[in-house]
Amino acid sequence: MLLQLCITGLVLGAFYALIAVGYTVIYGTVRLLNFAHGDMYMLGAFVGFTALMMVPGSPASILPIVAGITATVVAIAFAGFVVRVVLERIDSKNDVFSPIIAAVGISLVFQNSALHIWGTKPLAFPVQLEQDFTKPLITLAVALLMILAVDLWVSRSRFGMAMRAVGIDHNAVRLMGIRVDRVLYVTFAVFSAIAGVTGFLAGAYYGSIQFSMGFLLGLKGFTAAVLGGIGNVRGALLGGFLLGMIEAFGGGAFGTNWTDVIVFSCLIFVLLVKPTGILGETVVERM
Amino acid sequence: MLKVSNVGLRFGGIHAIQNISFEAQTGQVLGLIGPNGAGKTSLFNCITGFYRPTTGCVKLGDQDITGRKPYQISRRGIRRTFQNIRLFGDLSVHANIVAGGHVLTTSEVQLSERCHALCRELQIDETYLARRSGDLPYGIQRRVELARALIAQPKILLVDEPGAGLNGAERQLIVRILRNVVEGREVGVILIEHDIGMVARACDHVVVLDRGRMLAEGSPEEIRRNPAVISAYLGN
Amino acid sequence: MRSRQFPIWIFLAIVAIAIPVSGNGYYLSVGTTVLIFAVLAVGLNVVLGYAGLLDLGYVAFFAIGSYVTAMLLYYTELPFLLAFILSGITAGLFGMLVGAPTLRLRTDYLAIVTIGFGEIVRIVATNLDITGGPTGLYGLRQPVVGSYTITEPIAYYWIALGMLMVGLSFSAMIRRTKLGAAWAYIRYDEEVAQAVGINPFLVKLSAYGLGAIWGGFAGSIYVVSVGAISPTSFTFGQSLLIVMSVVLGGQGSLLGVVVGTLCVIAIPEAFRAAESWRLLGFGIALIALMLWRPTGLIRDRFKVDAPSNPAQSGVPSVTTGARHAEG
Repeated sequence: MLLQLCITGLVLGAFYALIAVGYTVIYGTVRLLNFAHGDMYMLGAFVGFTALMMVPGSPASILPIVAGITATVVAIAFAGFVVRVVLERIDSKNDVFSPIIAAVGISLVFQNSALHIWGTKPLAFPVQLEQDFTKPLITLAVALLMILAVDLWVSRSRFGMAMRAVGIDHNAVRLMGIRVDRVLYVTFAVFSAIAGVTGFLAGAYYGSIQFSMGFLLGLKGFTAAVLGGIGNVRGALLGGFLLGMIEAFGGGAFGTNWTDVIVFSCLIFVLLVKPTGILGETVVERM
Repeated sequence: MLKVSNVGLRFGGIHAIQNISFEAQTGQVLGLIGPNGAGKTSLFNCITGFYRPTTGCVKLGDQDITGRKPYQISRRGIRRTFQNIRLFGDLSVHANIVAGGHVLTTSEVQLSERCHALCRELQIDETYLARRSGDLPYGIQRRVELARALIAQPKILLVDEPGAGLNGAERQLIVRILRNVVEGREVGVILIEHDIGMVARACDHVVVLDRGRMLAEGSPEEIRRNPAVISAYLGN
Repeated sequence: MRSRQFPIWIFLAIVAIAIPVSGNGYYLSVGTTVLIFAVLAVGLNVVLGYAGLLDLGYVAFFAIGSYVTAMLLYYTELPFLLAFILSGITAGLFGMLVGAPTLRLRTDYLAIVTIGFGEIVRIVATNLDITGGPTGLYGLRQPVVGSYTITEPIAYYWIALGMLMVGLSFSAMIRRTKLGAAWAYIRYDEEVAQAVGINPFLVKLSAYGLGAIWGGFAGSIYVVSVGAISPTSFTFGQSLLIVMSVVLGGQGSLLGVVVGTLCVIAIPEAFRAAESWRLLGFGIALIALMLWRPTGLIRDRFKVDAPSNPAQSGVPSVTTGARHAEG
């Protein structure tokens, strides 16, 4: 029983971590909570679903899976790019609300488009992992690989450095010759694609997908990002796993009906006690 | 009146300012000069509470105001203007100036009278009072911002680069205004300015910052002749 | 009230009176729904339009007020007026509770937390027996005022209309007070507001708390007008509809709020559009609005200044999480 909870918590945690990292990096570069981020996860699952169904032959073999994941990556990266393009046009109006409300609008469009394209009923995901111990193992392995790749990319690569520099000061970075707009396009595209693949993975793990799966997950992903320290990649990862465990054990203790309440109460609690999160830096400026 | 002792500010590993100590007296204009990035605005932010200094203390009279919230420091009688003019652009000049007196117990009528008096003193034509402040020329906006700070009858007035973006005649006007302000009231003024001419004519005492530290302190003449100061400006 | 708006108000007043007079049951029902939404929008307008707080979970206070009244009517013999008052107070208390930690935060954090709170309220209501669980409570006894029992739909229409009038008058009045001015200042430029001595936290809390109390009162009226309550009425989607009403009409403008509510609720109702198409349309409308007319359909006076450059906002940027030596 305890083991089961741990496994549930770890897998959930891995998913939250992958979503959280996208929130945190996007927030760190453009100071915007990308409301539509959770929907990238949802779209990834559905695009993957469609791609898998379209490839001839049994979905559960190598070729369709590769094709499915590739389609997901490409499609959701493009979606992320489009989101950035739209937000870019709004950002320049120098208004605190507009980008947030626009992102909410984008989220509505994605969710309700998915609803109309794929319907309201949950769909069985064509690729499903064996219902034994390999299931969480494979899922965790894939997730951890992605997490590792992201961490290395942000901390070691030149592009990662560019992203971090953009997060500090757009103007200074422009003067150094970095194309801020391009960095942001890539950032949005990549992290949206990651969210999309996470959705694909979740589809395989849980076996069914639904148009509303992005909303709640997005909120929890954000909670995880805040828990770990917004803007901080390792914090997002830590926050994700921590939140997964809290949810699993909270659900075990109080019943699965209450997990969301527990999670959101955590959010409010963290913001009360340490708004900068576990690994967050204390900000000197005081508003 | 305002005593800054050993104030320092650190961001991560960087010292924005270190070991800053001076006193601003009532009835005097103290100039704060230094090359770009010397830490002048950071110091203002420390005094007004927008940053909490990592070391040192700031005292108004015998009250320790170090690290207090900005609105508390404003209420104790320290008012400021900003480097990039920050008026409520969509509101009228009158509304902007009167906003400065928002937390005071003074009646609306009295505030309005003070506003008119300040407009005369700062040479803001009365026809501008009803105009949308964001539409007005820079020079007038600067003076409106000054009026907004002065309407509260502060003990200390911090003025951040009032001459930036103004022509010669307007700068002369600012200098005259600042001299009038300290001579007519119980107030100490601290002025950040790049224009050495303005500093020389407006200030009784000057503090020079360079790369976060105090380089020199003295009368405008002494500072002008100080070789370390000269090389700091030329060297940068 | 600006003189150019006067004819539109007159028109709206005529429509508002014509509906109950016409005796048409369908219009009456839709009208009551629209009125209650408008009441909510007027409440959110204080929070969002005047004080500039992005509350995306306003439905939570509506829900709290509704449930307090519903449970008091269902389980006790307390008179409706008392339940009404308690609904407002309870909602207000929760407003303070949630507002206290979160109003110090940046706009985007506030947005997410308010969504979370809305969800918490809805989920708690869905899972507790005392609130009737997923099916809610029904067959609530009707309110009695004096010796008169309020049963007819037309009475609820007039009550809702009356509440809207009260809300509009109160909003117009409070906007002219010192508190109203303080809300405008912190909304416009919070740092400058601090520089003139205004305590942003208290000012924001007052707006948020007032909005919460108002939402509670609205919930109380809503519940008796329907005679039943169910958690499905209090979703995030509903919060969004209220936000849309305020944003569409032009933040701060009272006429804008009413017109916005009409656009958001009445028109789709008139076309019997399915919920999902309506939301899709709204998503597109929100995006279009933010791209081309962020101040709303009716011109608003205030704009908020914010740095588009992260360096000016003093908030952490992207870091890898590797610790550096800290002083």
